[in-house]
Amino acid sequence: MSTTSKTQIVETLISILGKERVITDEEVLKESSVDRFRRFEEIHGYFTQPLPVAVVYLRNKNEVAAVLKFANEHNINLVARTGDSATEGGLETAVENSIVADGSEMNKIIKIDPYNMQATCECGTSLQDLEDELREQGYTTGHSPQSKPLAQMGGLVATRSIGQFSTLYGGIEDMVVGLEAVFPTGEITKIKDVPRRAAGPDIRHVIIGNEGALCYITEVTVKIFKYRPENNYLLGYTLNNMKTGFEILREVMAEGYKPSIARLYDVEDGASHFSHFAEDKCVLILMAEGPKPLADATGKAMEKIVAKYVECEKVDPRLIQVWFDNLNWDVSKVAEERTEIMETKNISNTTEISATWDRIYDIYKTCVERIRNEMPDMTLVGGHSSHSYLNGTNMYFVYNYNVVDCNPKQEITKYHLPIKKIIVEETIKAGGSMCHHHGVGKHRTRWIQEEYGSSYYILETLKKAFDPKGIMNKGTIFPGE
Amino acid sequence: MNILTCFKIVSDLDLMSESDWVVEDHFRINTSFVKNMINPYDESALEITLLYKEQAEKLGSAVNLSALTIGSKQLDAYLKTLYALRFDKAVRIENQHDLRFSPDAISTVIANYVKVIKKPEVIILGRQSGVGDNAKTPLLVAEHLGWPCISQAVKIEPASEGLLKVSSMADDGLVIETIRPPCVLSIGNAPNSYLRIPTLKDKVNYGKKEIEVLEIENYLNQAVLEQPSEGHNITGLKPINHKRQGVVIEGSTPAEKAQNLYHNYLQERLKQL
Amino acid sequence: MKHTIVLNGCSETFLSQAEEVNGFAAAYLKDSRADKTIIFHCTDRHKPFLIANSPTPSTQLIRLPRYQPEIILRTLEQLEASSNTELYLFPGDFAGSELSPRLAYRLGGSSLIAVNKISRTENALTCHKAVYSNYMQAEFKLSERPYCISLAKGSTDPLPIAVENDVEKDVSEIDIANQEWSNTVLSFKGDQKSEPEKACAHIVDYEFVKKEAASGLENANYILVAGRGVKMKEKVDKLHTIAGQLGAELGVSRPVAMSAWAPLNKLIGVSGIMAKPQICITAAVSGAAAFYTGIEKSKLIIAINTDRGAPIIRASDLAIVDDYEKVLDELVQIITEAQCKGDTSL
Ligand SMILES: Cc1cc2nc3c(=O)[nH]c(=O)nc-3n(C[C@H](O)[C@H](O)[C@H](O)COP(=O)(O)OP(=O)(O)OC[C@H]3O[C@@H](n4cnc5c(N)ncnc54)[C@H](O)[C@@H]3O)c2cc1C
Ligand SMILES: Cc1cc2nc3c(=O)[nH]c(=O)nc-3n(C[C@H](O)[C@H](O)[C@H](O)COP(=O)(O)OP(=O)(O)OC[C@H]3O[C@@H](n4cnc5c(N)ncnc54)[C@H](O)[C@@H]3O)c2cc1C
Repeated sequence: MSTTSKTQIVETLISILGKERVITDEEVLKESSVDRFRRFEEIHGYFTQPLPVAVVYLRNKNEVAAVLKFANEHNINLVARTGDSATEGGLETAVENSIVADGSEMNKIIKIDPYNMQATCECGTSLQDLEDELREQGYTTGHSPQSKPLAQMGGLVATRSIGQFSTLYGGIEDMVVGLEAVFPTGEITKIKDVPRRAAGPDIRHVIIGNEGALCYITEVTVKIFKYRPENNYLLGYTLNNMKTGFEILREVMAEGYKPSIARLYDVEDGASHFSHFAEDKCVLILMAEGPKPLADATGKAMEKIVAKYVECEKVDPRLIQVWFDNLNWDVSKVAEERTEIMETKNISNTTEISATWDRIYDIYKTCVERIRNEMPDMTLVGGHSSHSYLNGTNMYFVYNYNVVDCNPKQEITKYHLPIKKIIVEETIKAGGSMCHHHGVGKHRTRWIQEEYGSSYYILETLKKAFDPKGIMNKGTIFPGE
Repeated sequence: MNILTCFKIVSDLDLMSESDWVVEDHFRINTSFVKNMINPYDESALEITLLYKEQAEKLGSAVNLSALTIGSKQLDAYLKTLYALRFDKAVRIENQHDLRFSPDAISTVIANYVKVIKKPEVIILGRQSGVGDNAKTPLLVAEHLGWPCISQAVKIEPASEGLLKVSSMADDGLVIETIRPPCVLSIGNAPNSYLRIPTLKDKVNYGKKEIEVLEIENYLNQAVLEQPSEGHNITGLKPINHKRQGVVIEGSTPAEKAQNLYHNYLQERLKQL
Repeated sequence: MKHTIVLNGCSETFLSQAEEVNGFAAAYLKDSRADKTIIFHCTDRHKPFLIANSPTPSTQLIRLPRYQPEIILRTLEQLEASSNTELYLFPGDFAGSELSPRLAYRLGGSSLIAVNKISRTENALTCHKAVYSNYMQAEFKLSERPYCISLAKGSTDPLPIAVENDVEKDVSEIDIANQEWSNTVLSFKGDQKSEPEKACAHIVDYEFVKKEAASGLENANYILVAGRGVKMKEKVDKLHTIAGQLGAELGVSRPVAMSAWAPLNKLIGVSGIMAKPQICITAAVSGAAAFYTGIEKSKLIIAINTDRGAPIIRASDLAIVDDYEKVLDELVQIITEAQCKGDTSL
């Protein structure tokens, strides 16, 4: 790794960016050495990762290029960051002397172009801000991850994020039309905004989902859609079995309907959201949106499909609406969660996977059973499906546990990783994908080769080609040494 | 020692949006769309009860815990959770009547229940709950039973020979008393009293015990239930308006915003302080 | 109507109790005849002070060893059994809100806690109070006499007791503390157990730890309030320092106090202190009604919150949508610089 000393690194960064934007305050460095994956340790005041040398605030692509070039020339690890809502260790500074390159001040909305139905913004634009701005003009990105109030466009693209309306609008990969990104050599690259092209492979996908391990995203252009919430056709049901729920989701998709929301909660996970009306029940939520005739037709057709399943009981849509209005995670929820973890020593974590229709139920059932049987101190094991496709769906496992009889530093090895292992291994064994939307981060890399099989060659070659010195977010996507 | 802890499930009113505050017939407000929670003071009461049991058992004295709530079947989930947390008995007194502003009816029911089972020497309740905001129930339970009541309790510890050491807030200090039961303890703002969360294993092993369901009519006469006569009746209800101007101070950085705040608004006012 | 005021003279808060009730009576009981003020007290030393600050011309002093609700209730019950007072008025503190419903029960009357306004109608007393965690204001009719109400803290402006030199104060005294008291256990001379003794027979040991100096928040002109969004105790400590630099008193919201990041006497809101400063800055507070009631009387409310949609933004005069720490660090710097420049007004 780097032979450049801390002082030299800091001095050079200051010469590039000025003193104001190179932060070396220890508190800031500590907070910047981790993300939500290590929040149990962090809340208890333990910081187990090497602290970065500095957190730098970047203002434009040229500064990004200059800092990347410097890091590359001196073998200094660089961790890109925008909204700081990562959950899988993507922001951990795994090696000594890392630079955390924060893009949150690149937050300009460059252009909203309603005629061409697209919007361009810098990487640090918070999705909430973009969405608020668009809605004021009658448009929406259609992107609504639960972290909308926290996450920013760069990070959202870098992790291949997905939102609650994905079944209609798609994941971020379906929304991005053009991009600008900077590579370790300092090369600034721009992919133009066009409706489609057949000029070789779609290189957007080298950038989307790179988790800061190949390049630094500086600008994003996404599609926009007309925003017509008044047409929303919201349906909620309680039912007894996840199996039935998956069947309904499959039927809706296979019949060719495009709901915006298609969510199925199991009893355990549902209890924390719906206990005021659905005790001991699974909950199915469907929503149609868009132009009124289409939304109505889709809504009614879905209602008809569900009606065939006698165990489904319809609930007042207002119950679902109020729940949905409080679903997103803002800073207030983060703060509330912190106090609860501290006071109760109970923590909630998640792992999201996907698989085809024929496999998803078995994966769900096996994982839930295994975790319940094999892991100690569990207080909740369950999950929901929240993004459906023609050929399958995802499963978002939720697992809570009391951290007892161990040092806070051992929470990850005693609980979180063994649970993740069960889910990931069962999923890969069944032919599913171990990462549906949070990215690989630093803790699922041990299974990345299994995830890819023979196609790992392609992935690995990208790293060798674009980041041969391995300075980009070491240990992310690609296992560290 | 036998302890009865009473709790109430309330809607999380902080989740209601402005337009949700609609007064319906009989001064009812539909809060059923928002999530429920254990009334915060009652949550403290339950955790303090569990902490007490832990400590007493360490000292070798046996403690038997019961939990009581008054309401509909929906509340059973909470009672099961309490079983899983090792309460020995969970009781629900079935009620469909509107007792939001009837602390006297509620406390009569609790006191009558206690008189019938003759058991608990200590009754623990939260001091207030956020729908009726009556803040009278524990006090009236004590009155009905003719027991002493310590209000604003924040800590309960075992003392020797079946005595309790209770810390409570007074207006100008903290009172620490050792008392001989029976007594009613009304829990105030007790720091570090979030209710613990039971494990799935405990839910399986202990959470399945049968909940004792009793009819409220057995503890309060029908006439009172239909028309709770508390010596007070609600005759009006309207939302409280908290709106002010809400001028958002602009600026592209925190520094700019702080400058703007100071120069345009604060500086002059600070001089006048 | 005839009303009686009950105050706790054992507490250092006596004066604020008296002024609180006096303000309320001036606002809502103009047509009522004040019967007397009953004051419980513990030492003769304070008697002149208590009498001087009794809100009514007639004062009944009752000496007892310490504030002990069971004794006070037993005494009031006997004393007032045959009284024709229609309304008993208690302050909104802990003592007032525990005594009023219990006395009503014993006298067969009706009670309400945290009342912010009353009016008299035929055969009933109309009382207003906040319900639904302070999101709603309700009106109740009390029908059983005597009405025993305790006030909603901070709802009416306190009114100092007028000094009327020419009016002879009418004072009567009862001493139920004339027996021998040990420090901890209340025991009385004589074979027969006295009523007060019986009333606190459950107490085996007693200790009183006086509050460290009152936090001064109630009367502060300038306060800074930390909410749960500050995320940890260390940050609350830091805000304490910042408050000092700004010349403000620090208060906190309930979650902050409940996590023991700050002492309980810093808690602002219906469960704590009702502040009425000229300037109130809230940092990372969402603005739940139960909290907001505690700052409602502020002249100027400045909210700092990262969430533009937080209820506190609409309920403030000025709002900064940003990270509280960054904004306050800047503000401290600006103010310190202003001070250095010799802006002596601060
Ligand atoms: C409560 C909660 C709910 C969530 N819900 C969802 C959800 O519904 N759907 C979903 O998809 N995700 C969800 N997430 C995960 C997270 O919000 C997403 O991964 C999000 O895309 C991260 O965006 P960010 O701006 O916060 O990125 P950060 O956390 O800053 O970074 C995330 C990753 O991207 C890299 N990165 C950041 N910026 C850049 C850049 N400019 N160029 C290159 N790499 C970069 C980082 O190095 C890191 O590896 C949730 C997270 C939380 C905490
Ligand atoms: C009977 C009863 C009595 C109650 N009495 C009281 C009382 O007396 N006092 C009281 O306070 N509460 C009381 N409550 C609780 C009340 O309902 C709320 O739960 C409480 O006020 C919320 O506190 P908070 O605003 O600090 O926390 P939260 O509601 O969690 O809000 C935190 C806020 O911080 C913001 N934030 C987070 N990070 C930052 C940042 N970096 N910079 C800026 N802003 C940030 C968030 O956007 C959020 O708005 C009572 C409740 C009940 C039921």
